[in-house]
Amino acid sequence: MSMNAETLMEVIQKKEKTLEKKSFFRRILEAREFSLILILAVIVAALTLSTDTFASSANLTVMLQGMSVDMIIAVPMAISLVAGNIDFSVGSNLALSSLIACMAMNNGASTITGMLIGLVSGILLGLLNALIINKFRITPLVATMGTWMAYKGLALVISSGSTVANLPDGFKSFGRAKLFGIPLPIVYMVCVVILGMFVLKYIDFFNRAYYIGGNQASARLAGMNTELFTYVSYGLTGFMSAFAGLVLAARLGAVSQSAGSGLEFRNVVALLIGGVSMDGGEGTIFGAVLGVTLMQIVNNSLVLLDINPSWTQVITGSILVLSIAIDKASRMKKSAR
Amino acid sequence: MDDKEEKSMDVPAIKLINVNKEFPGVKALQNVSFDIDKGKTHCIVGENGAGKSTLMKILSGAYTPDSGDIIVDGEKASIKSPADSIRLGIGIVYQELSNFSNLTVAKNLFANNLPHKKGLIDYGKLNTDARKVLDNAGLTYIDETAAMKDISLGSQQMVEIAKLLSLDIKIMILDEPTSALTEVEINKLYSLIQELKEKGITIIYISHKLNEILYLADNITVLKDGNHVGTFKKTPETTKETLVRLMVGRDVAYDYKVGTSKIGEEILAVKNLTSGTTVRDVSFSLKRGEILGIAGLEGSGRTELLESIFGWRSVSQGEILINNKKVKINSPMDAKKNKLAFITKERKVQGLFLSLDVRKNIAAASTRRFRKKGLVNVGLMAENAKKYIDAMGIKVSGLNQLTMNLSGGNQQKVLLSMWLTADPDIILIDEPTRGVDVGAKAEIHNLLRDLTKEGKAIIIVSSEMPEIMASCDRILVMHEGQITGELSNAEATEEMIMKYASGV
Repeated sequence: MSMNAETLMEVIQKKEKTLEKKSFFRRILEAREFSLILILAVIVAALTLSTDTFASSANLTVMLQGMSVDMIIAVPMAISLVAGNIDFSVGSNLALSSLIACMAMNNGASTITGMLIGLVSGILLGLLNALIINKFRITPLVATMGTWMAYKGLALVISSGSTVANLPDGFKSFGRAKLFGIPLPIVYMVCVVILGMFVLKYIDFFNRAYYIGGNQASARLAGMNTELFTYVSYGLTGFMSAFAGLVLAARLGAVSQSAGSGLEFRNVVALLIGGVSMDGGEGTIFGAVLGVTLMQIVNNSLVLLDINPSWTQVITGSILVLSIAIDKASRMKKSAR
Repeated sequence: MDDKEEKSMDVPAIKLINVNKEFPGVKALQNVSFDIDKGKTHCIVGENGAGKSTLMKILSGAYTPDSGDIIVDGEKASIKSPADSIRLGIGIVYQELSNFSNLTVAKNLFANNLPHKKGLIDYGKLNTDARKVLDNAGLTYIDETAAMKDISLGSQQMVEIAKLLSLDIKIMILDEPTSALTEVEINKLYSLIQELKEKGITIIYISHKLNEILYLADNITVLKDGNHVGTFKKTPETTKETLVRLMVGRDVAYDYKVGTSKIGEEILAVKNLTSGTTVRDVSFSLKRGEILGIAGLEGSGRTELLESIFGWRSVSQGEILINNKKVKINSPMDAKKNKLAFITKERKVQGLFLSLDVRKNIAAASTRRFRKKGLVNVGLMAENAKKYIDAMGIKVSGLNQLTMNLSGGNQQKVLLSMWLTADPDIILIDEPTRGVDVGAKAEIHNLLRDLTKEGKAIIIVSSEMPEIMASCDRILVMHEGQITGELSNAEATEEMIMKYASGV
């Protein structure tokens, strides 16, 4: 084989020079989150200018409080989904475990005991999802659709369809009190988001989500316990669903079997908009936060602009399809170079 | 430590003694014994199915041998898993890379052991450690923070090599490492191999490309049909011809009645067909009544050529003429309209509908024909299926037996029936007898010959040279996407084919 050593080295050196690191700025520009921030900024600017109510602190508080329940659940859902595990049962879990908690309180349990009962049921319901997925090898979507329906039915059965009210005052303050003038649900939301960002990035166990979602077989070969991850992530999602349910029940002072209905759809859509891949391996908590926020702002703006709120679904549906289509198109362009 | 160093110089890195491995119906390795010297580049060559990959999988812990001993650095080793193999200092870079393509280079390098500080992942250290690993392997140009999928295939492979180096590997197996690389990347790999050798690392290098072997090898082992043919030092006298002779040289006789059908006028002409880099500027013609064979090594573009003709793979250049008329084939639908049939080698994945019964499978390529008053008619399908089951001697328990429960040979006959039902003029067959037992092999070839007697034309792609030589009127040989030779049945010998296939 004829090989001229000198020209070879030249070729390699030339190649080395062309392979420079992408600049920090370029990385930001290419991130999915960046385009979302742009969209959000445009909408916020438009709303601030066209209405005098949007930027008011009253409206912002209403908005943040309104999205707190979705957001608290979206964070663990995102961690789970990065590993390729979708959880569709969150809304029903929320209803069932908060109903259990509130019924316990109405039947003599103390506020603390009642809340603990609710949280534990949330965890158990989540673990049941993981058990079905791990033991019977049923795909997460199918498994959690099944439990979504079953948990919803159970909630209806135990409540006989009636609303549970007359909750203890101590419990209500859990969702109504303020910390430095900020309503507690917003405080909870912020804490959960920060914690979620932190664990997914810095805690080894949760960071494995990216490996597992990226290539499950390789992850297993690399000695990662993927089943344990499934248990933990669904258990956590169940816990946070119950927690969000308690916040909601405390804030409203009542709970019924219809609590949290439609939440699973809203959140899955928000996560997809936020760049969490349905196949796993990709996504950030920041993206999830942007997705949930965008959904909430669209909802809020229609109210402010006095448009029939039923348009919300048309608009968010369109945003979902558009954002994924843009993402796909930019990827195809990238791989075609 | 010193003792070991001294001992280590004359002890081979790996000594294989009577290694055997059998798969159902195939003796993949039979009493293979040879030594791999320390610090040398040891190349292993052989035809498709010679046992190279099986042997490497045994060394890397993916398979366990049925019998025989593996002595690593003078000590008997038991390799039961990839982890055992790594512990013994043996690492492999597979032909098909299996990394976490969505994650950064650094995270891939340290997938098993991300660095920590106070229980948290230490990204700073992760990236500096990754930088060190890459620099140590001379990969100064690879960005440790880039996503794996954003760097070239060659670079991804280099990252895998660097990862093994960071695990303190003493013996590195490279399985067809250059098959997906560009010229520049290949040269980069060569210089990396040179550096590894200088560090005392033993390289086991598997390749079909004889040029590479002759350039890189210190020692060469030839395997054939699972047997060890020989291990020798490369000398200036070692040529490609010597290697080819050792790799082939077998006597198997088949008679598939070549020359008994009448060759008619030209039915297909392919001109300058190009598809990416896998099929490059291919031109040939095919006549009625003819069986044309396409030989070549795995990865030479044979399958891709058939896929390009059939519209399954996008064609960047060239034209196809059928009956002297230019046709546009952009999809399998177009191909079918032009009376082409394609019988894939991925029978179970891309060919058959395993969960459907024989009757429905045979009807699958021409469902429109089985309608009565616009409605699907199972009776018509059954009639048609019966016809083919009788004609081809397909062994089924009934018309509604599921195809997944048939043997390989019978599945192949069902797939063939499916396409014959569509009444093609030109039949493209990839590996017609893969996974088919000897008896059914002859039956299938006789069937194909009979079809040519009806004026149909057939193109066969096969990895088995005796099969091609016994069944084809004319043979084209491919090498790296191009046709490097054309032989008539009378001219063809395995050595000639092998020469063209290796690009000599």
